[in-house]
Amino acid sequence: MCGDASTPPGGHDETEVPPSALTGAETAALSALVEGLFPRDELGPGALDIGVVDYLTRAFHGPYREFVPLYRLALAALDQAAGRDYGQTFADLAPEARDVLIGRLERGQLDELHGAELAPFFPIAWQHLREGLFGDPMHGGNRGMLGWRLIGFPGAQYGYTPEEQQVDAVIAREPRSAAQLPADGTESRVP
Amino acid sequence: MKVEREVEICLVGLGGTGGMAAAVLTAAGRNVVALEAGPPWSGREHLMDEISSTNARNVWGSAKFNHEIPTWRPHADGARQPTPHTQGLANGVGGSSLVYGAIAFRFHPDDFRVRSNTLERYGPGALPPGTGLADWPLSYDDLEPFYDWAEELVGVSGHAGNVRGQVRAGGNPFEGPRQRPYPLPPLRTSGLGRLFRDAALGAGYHPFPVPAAILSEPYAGRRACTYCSFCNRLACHVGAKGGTLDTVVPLAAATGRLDIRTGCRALRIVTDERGVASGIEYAGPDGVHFQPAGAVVLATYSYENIRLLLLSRTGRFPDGLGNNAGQVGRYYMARQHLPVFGVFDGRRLNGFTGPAAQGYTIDDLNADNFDHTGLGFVRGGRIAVVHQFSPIESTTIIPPDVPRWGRPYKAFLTRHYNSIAVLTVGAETLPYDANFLDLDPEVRDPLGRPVIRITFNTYENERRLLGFLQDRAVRLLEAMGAGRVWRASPHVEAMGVHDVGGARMGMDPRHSVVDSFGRLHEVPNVYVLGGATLPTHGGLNPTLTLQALALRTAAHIAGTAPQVVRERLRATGPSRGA
Repeated sequence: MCGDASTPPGGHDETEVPPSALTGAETAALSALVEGLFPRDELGPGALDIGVVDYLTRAFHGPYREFVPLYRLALAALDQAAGRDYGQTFADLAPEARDVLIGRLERGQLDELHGAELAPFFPIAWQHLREGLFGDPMHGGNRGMLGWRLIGFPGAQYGYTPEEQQVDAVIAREPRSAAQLPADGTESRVP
Repeated sequence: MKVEREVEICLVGLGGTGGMAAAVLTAAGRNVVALEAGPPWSGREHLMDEISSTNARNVWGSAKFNHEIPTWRPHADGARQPTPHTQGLANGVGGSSLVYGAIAFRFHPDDFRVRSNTLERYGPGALPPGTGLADWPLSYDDLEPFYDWAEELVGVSGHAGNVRGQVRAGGNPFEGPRQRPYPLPPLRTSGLGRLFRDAALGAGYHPFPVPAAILSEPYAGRRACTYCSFCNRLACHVGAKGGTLDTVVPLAAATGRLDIRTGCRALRIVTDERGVASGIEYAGPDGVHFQPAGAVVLATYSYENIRLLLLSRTGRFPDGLGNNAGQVGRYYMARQHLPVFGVFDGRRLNGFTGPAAQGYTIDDLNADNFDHTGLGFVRGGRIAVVHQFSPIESTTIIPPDVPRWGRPYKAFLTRHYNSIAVLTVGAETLPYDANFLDLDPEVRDPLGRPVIRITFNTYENERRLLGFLQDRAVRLLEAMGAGRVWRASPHVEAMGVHDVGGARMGMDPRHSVVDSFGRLHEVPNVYVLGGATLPTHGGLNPTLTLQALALRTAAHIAGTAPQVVRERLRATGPSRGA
C-alpha cells in the first residue's frame, strides 16, 4: 500500500512527463523486464508499445517514489545475473534468456544475496504492469488505449444499455478515458 | 491547547454510521460537532479511474488510513507477517460509504440469537473449541424499524422476499419479515445474472437479486444508476450510490446544527475524575484542540474505534477506556472471501458493465438456513454472481496452470477477458478467544501513535464451511456453462473488509464492552457505532445493519421517539410518498 500525499484530492498532478528517476541503463533493463512480462507478439502490442515504461516513469516521480529503490535493486540483480550467466546486460539478452531470468526473479531464485529484499518485488511489479497496461491513459500508460483494445474493455463509459448487458451482446464502443468525462458529472443520458 | 465551546454531542468520524447519527441527532434538535480526519469530498473525485481507487494507491485513504494500516500476526505467539491483503478504507466526509460496493442486506433473525439457536438445534458439541459465540442483546424485531428507516434514507433497490410474514416469489424466502417492500425495485437483471438465476433454480436454490443501496430509479432528488461499472472502491459519477455524503449528511447540514470539522483527528477521549467523558482532544490543521461535549460518539472504522479506546488510558481506566473487564479488542472477526472462477469459452459475458452489486445471489447456504447436522461446521455464507470486472484487478484472475506473465498470460487475457465469471463466496467467521485487536508495540503512525495489531487466524469451522460453499459454487458455475473452473486458494489472514468485533455489545459487562445502544458499560456518555460492536459476524455484508444500529443509538441519545425524527427528516429528505 502506498501513500499518495502528493496528489491533491480532486486533482491530478500528472499532466507532464518528468525526466526518468532511473538512469538510462536502468530504464533499458526496465524496458526489457516489462516487455518480457507482456511481450509484443502476433496477438498484438506489448508492454513497451502500450506505454508501461512511460507509466512507471511518471509514477516514480509521484505516488510510486517509494518504490524506486526496490526497482533499482531488482534491475541491478537482473543485470548482474545476465552478466554472470550470459556475459551481457539484461537489456541485451535474447528473449529466451531474458525469460529464464524473469522466471528466477518470480520464484525468488535470482539473487541469493538480496533474496529477502527482493521478495516483494515481483507482485508489486506485476500490479504496476497491469496498471500501465489497463489503467486509464490519464496516468501515462495504456497508450492510445491499446491495452483496453487488446482485451476488449471500453474504458470510462457513461453507462450501458440493457441490451449491452446481455450475454453475447457485442459492445461496439470506442474506448474512452475518464479525462473525457464532463468535469461536473452532468452527462445526462446513456449515449 | 485551544479549548472549544462545549457542544451537546461530539461525533468522531462522519462516514457510513456517523452520517446516519448526525442526521438523527440534528433533526432531533441536538447540536453536533463532527470531527472528520479526511477532506470534504465533493463525491465526484477520481471518477471512473481504477488506478487511483485500487488498493495499490487508494487515494481515499491518503489523509489517514494509508499511513496506519494495521499489522497482522496469525496467533499471539506468532511473528508479525507482511501486511495482510487489505481493502483500502476511505477518510473524509462520507467515509468508506462513498466508495463501498453498496450491497445492502439485513441480517437474519437467527443472527441475533445465534448462540441459543445453535445450542438448541445442535447441542453444545457443535460449538468449536475457543469460540465466544454470543447472542445479541437485541432482537431482529427490535432492529426491524431501523432497517426500514435506513433503507429509506439511503435508497435500497431490491425485491422483498418476506413482507409481514408473506413470502413473495422471486425474493429471498429466508429473510426476516419486513414491514414493507424495498423503496426501489431491484437493479436490472443482466444476462450474467440470468445465467446464475437459472442455474440456481435448477439446483433447487432460491435465487434473488442482490439488494443494493444503489438507485434503480430516480429517488429523493437523486439520479439512477447508469450501470457504468466504476462503482465499488470508487465514487459514483451520478450520485446513485447511497453513501452518506449523497444522502443523510446534507440533511444534517441543512439543519444548521452540524459543525463539520474536516482535517481533524481525534487523539483521545478525555474523562474526568468521576469517569465521565468531558470531551475529545483532537489534532487539527492548526494544532491540538479540546472539544468539550456532553456525550461522545465514536463512529470511525472498527480499527480506529478500538485504538481510540485503548489510547484513552487514565488512572481509572489503566488499560484503556471501558476496558476494565479486559474486553476491548476481543472477538475480532474478518470476512474470508474465497471466490470461484470459470471460463465460458467463446462467450461474451460483459461482466465489465454494471456495478459490483448488480448481481444475483442465494441465501440457502447462509446462517442456519440449512441443516448442519453431520457437516462438521456451523453457520454459512453467500454465493453470488457479481459485475464490475475491472481490468486492472480482474487481470489477476487466471487459472492455476496459466503463468502470470509472458506470452501465455497475454494469450489468456486476449482470448478470455470477457469470458470469465466470478462467483463470490463469503462466509461468516465465528468469534474466537484467539482472534483480537490490540496496539502494535513497535509500528507507529506518522503522529507517533501505535497502529492496531490484528491477531487473526482462520480455524477449522471456517475452513470446512468455505470448502463446502466453494464446492457448491463450482457446481453452479458448471451449470451456468463454464468449461474450465478453478477456485481461490484458502488464506488465513484478515482481508480488511467487513472487520467487526472488538467492542461487542452484550448484556453482561464482564463479557462485552457496550450495551445494545453502543454505550460503554463503564462510561455513561460514550457510545460506539459501527462494526466494532457486533457480537457475531453474520454471513452477509454488514453496512446496513451498522447503519440501522446507528439510527437506533442516535434516537436513543437524542431522547426523541424514532418515528418523530423520521417524520422530520421526511419533511426535508427522502420519502416514499406512500
